[in-house]
Amino acid sequence: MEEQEAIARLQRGDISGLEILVRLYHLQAIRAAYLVTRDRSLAEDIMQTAFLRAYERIGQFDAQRPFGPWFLKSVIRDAVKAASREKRYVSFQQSDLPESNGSTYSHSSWDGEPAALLERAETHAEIESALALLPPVQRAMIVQRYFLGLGEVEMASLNNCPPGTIKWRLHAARKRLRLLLRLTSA
Amino acid sequence: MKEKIESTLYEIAERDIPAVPDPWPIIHTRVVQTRRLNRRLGVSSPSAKKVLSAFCAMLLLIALPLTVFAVQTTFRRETQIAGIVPVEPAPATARISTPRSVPGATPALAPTMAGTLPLVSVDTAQTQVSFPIRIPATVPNTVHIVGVIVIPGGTPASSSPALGVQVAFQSSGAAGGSLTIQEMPRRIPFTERVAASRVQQTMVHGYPAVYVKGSWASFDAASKGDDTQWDDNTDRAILSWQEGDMTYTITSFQLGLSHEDMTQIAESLK
Repeated sequence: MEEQEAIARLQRGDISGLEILVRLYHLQAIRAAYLVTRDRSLAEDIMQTAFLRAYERIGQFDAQRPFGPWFLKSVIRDAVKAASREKRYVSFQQSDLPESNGSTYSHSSWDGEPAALLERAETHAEIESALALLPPVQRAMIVQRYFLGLGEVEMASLNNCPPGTIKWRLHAARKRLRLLLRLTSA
Repeated sequence: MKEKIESTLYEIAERDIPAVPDPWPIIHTRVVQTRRLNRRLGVSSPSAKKVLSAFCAMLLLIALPLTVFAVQTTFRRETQIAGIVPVEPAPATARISTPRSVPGATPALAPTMAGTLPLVSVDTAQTQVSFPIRIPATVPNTVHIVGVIVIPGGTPASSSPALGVQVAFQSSGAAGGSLTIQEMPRRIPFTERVAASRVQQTMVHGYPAVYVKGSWASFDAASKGDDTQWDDNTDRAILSWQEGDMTYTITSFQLGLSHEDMTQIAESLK
């Protein structure tokens, strides 16, 4: 109710509506941006810019729909762009993965044992290290699914692609995460 | 896995961003500054917005042809060096188009091949060509392989070696998307009729490649294609590159695949 009232006010040009939305969503927005960029000041800037953009484009927003996904889409998109610019990630190329630990791997060698791999990744620290090594686009998929709790249909709508493609991208991100877990925990 | 990822994400978020100072004063200041700037530029009133939009559109009309010309010239020069030559935009007789007035029109497979040549299994196709047929290790899980079209080198097909193959995937969803991978055993120029201004240079496994999204579309069924123009919104993408003596072209239709997705499929060919 508070959210709908805030949107209605904002659409009438009343800036107090934006203040309510900021209070409702700023923490979730900055945390989502941070999880993608791993840079707090960058995440703060992304969050502020996203609210500014929401203010400018609130006229295009359908008030019958929830504000969160619409707003967080812009946060995630900006975070991916910013993280890609910063290049704080390893390349998407398989060949660029660290191999100096002497372990050899192939898709077939680890595809069959994901559960065992995850059991091995006992600590959050290992998962955190692996997440940090994911490319921003894949990290954003993980954040949308597991932090923002979006379903595949919602993600498809936000990413302008069919749910099947989202499923595939999530699968690729998780697969990559498993591989990185194996490498980081080896 | 789900629980571990979720709890890790929440742990990182709460540890590194435990609380945030009230961001409203900063956001409010930025909003006020933006309003002031808009007022100074005179974009607050609807009529001023219209004038400004018209002015921008005029500038765009002048700048666009110059930019397109510059991009075309640069691209042609660079792709000639790489051995990949784009076809000039000549939409009137576009080979593949998606008329909006004909819902469900599917330019997924090259029409000249899809309707007339039989689909065979990968193994059968492999016996008819001298090069190894490569299949992607990763594709969207909504698509499945439906077979391979062997492109004959002459008539009858047995009179000369096959020109190449087209590996076809179809979506099992209601949207009817498709993915095709054309594999030709020689270096051939990129001859798809596309809008040259939309062609992006990219790389696949370090090889120069071209990527283009969209297709020619006719917005009026009565025009019989005379009004064909490039539609960036059509969910169709092409990625083409040369690797050794082979030329590969991947075409996706109605699968919502991004440039990165197409590259991922290309780089997973085995």
